Amino acid sequence: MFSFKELRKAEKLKVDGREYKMAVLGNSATQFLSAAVSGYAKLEGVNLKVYDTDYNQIELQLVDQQSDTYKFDPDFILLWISTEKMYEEFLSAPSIGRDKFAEAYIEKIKKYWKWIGQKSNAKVLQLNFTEMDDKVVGQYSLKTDTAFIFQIRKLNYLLQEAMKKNCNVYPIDVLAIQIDLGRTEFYDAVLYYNAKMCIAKKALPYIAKSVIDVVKVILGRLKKCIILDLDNTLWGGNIGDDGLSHIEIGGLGKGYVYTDIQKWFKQLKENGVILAVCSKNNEETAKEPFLKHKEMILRLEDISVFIANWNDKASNIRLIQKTLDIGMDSIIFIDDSPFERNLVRGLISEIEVPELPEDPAYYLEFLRGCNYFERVSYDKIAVDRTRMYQIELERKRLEASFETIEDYLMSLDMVGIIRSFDEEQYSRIAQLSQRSNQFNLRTVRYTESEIRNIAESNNYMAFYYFLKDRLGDYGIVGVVIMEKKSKNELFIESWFMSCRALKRSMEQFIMNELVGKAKEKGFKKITAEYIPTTKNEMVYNIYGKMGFTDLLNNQYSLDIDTYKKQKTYIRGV
Amino acid sequence: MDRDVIKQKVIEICKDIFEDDRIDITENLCSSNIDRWDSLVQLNILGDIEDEFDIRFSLDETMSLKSIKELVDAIESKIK
Repeated sequence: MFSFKELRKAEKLKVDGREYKMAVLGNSATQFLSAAVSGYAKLEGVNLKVYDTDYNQIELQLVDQQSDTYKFDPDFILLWISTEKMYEEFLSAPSIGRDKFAEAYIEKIKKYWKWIGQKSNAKVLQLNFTEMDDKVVGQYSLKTDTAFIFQIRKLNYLLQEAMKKNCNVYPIDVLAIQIDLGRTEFYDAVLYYNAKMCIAKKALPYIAKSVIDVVKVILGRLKKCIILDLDNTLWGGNIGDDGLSHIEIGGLGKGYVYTDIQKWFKQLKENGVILAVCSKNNEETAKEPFLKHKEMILRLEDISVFIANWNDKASNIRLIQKTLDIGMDSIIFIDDSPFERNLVRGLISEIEVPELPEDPAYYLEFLRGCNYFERVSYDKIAVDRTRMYQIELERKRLEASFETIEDYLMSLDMVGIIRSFDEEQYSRIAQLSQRSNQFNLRTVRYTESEIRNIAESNNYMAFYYFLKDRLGDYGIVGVVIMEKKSKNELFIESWFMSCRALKRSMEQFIMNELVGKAKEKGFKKITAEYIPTTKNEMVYNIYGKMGFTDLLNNQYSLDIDTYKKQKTYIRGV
Repeated sequence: MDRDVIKQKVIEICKDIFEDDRIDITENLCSSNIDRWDSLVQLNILGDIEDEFDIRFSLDETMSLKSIKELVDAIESKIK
């Protein structure tokens, strides 16, 4: 972890890319917290400008539309309510109402969120509450609802319940950091009495990481895939030398280390992370435990791409990345061998390669601690991406058996389905906007609440698209958001598609359908823009190819009446 | 540790924080003769000194040590 001093210095670094703004509001002094967050962002390549408000001004700043916070026009508002200052409020309240302290306080916080929602477009980053027990009734406080610690714990629970219902609020689990470090490391009495700062300098970098982890995911930088080594990573021992009955997994002793870590990988897979295998082994030998070992948790169907051969790992990882068609920076490579880790790191700079502890007993704790899989939305319907990738591999095999791509596409018998945004899919649509990099015309990242606003607004026409073929469903593969500029003109604010649906003539299908819908509603003209990024070159001039007039500077325009239907192999229903 | 060594380290820490070559950092420099030395800078100076020498300042010291000379004296007494 970085030191606070390193973060303080990093504040001055220059970072390219769009600037994002964050206002920091606290009930205690936040200058160091702001400095830590700002420096950490820079070190992670996020061009973040942080505005630190004077302390104990939360209410004043948030209620007044003309306040410095709103004038700053932040993308994020960080709310930090320290337990130490809150304790003063607790004591100044009449002791008779203390059993209702948490219920009253959560209403206050909900009010802050409401004001922010009404007066700005900022997303709220809400820190939860650290713990502090004044011990005036000893441990009996756990049974005493007028005790402060009783109310703080209740408040943390109420906060979780309230955040669940507000998709503009993103939790920062500062309590978890206090628990990991311990209160004596987290809180520095000298610093508090001298400067009214409630977080020790040692703890600040951890909080900064938690905040920036969430920011990065909101900006679309998330991890999607883990590539796993096998021997001494998924089980103890060497399958080639030791054989099926001698590798360590399950049961007694050290085997349990690997059972637990496999369980964790399985949980990740069930929460949408793609698992792949990259091992130096014969393929048949490497697959044997997955097929025959009774105590293996992971099975072949959990692995989307399985590569076992004697080639170097960097080449194999590139192959996996190509097959999955995801960014290298969204992949994590896990291997117990320092040699392999260094080799991969040296050849592929974008990939994340954690420096595992030497003792496998610590693998799981270490990997959990890295917090690689931050999320800002959660699919209620578990999307089985692994199954989708396996079907995709089947399609690739099928494709190879056809003479021409047209014959292949025809044979798939593809059906496209168009829907207006509906509540059930808000989080999935938001997620796709965060994940899509290559086929993404303007790379606007949406949160669930922004998708909701678009769906409920009369100023937008917005659709998502399903694709299925005779082998299976692709799920939601594309989203188009159009803003009504006037009664004649629609502007394509966003068009992004999942990589799974590329080279299927889906883009032609979507364009035909949306021009049709626009015409139906009486629009005459569609305007569009392409914003280049390092990843979306594939859609450069896509509008030009579809008959839009190139207005230069990546601006395009289409006269709806002159539109010629694009050839597609997908039929609507 | 020799007093001159301590002094030199403190001066380096201050240089690093002030980042201003025009400020002549000597033993006589104190918070009252330089505007930049505000309460936040004070915290950073003390924090960096604590890390550098592996010592802790008390609340009284944190509030009263306001010159390079006082800082060096305090460090000297703690690491003896």
